[in-house]
Amino acid sequence: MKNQNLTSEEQISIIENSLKHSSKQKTGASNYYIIWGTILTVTFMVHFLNTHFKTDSTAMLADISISLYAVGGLLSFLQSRKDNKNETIVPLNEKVYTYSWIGASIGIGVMCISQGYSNNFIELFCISILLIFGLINFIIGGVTNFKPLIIGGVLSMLLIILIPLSTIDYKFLITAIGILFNCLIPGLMMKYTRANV
Amino acid sequence: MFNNLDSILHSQTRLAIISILMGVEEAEFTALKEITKVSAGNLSLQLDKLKENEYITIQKDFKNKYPVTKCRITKKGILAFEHYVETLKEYLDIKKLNLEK
Repeated sequence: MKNQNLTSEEQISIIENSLKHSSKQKTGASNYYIIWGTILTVTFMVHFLNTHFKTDSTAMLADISISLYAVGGLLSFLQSRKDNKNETIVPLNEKVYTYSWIGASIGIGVMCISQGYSNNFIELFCISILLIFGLINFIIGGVTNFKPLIIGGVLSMLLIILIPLSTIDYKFLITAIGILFNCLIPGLMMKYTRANV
Repeated sequence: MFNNLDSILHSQTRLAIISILMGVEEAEFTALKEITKVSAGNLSLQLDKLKENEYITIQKDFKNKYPVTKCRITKKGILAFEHYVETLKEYLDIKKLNLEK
């Protein structure tokens, strides 16, 4: 590039090209959506199977499924290390994801600690997961202009209506479906589209 | 003709750097070099000029034991860029009017 007086057309072209480059940057959030979408969907499905069929093997699977959270934590840690290594540009949207999901984790954590001994803890837990995930994905989808997240978020929040009307096993199934629609599917779509997310 | 345009931004490389930084949180030196396609020496010079005028901040850090240079646009830089674009727009409007006449 030269450093000389530019014509207005040249200036506009430089600005346009540079902004295009910036807007093409992806945050890498799709990897975390896929990791946690898969883990939570599988975990809630296993809990559904366990409470619905009540066999020894499903009980064992339910016990094992708890360890998936540790696997998710490890995979997220490895992914963040990989991202830090390869990322040379930090997109503007990255902060939206970071603060939203830190807030969600704090909210779910506090809910688990404060309501852990409540009689209807499972119902409260399923509602909280669907509400927090739905709301966050709805907002992130709006900010990043990514429709699958908006649709997933709305679907997730609508599924809350069914939770109090269902038996305990179906509460888990509904939550699994909610996570599938607001995390896993949008995550896969993020990864394989050219959208700036 | 371009009297009102900010002389700091009125350079191809510096304008490109500021335009890139406008759309991101921060960018590393290597990324800016790749996008602007200028030599490391020239880019370094232009970044220093932008830093001197407080349009950007430059942070030297380490990543996997290798040194990295991270650049961020400042509020002053954002305002300067917005003003630059506004002036450019005004100029284009005048030019368009003259052509229509």
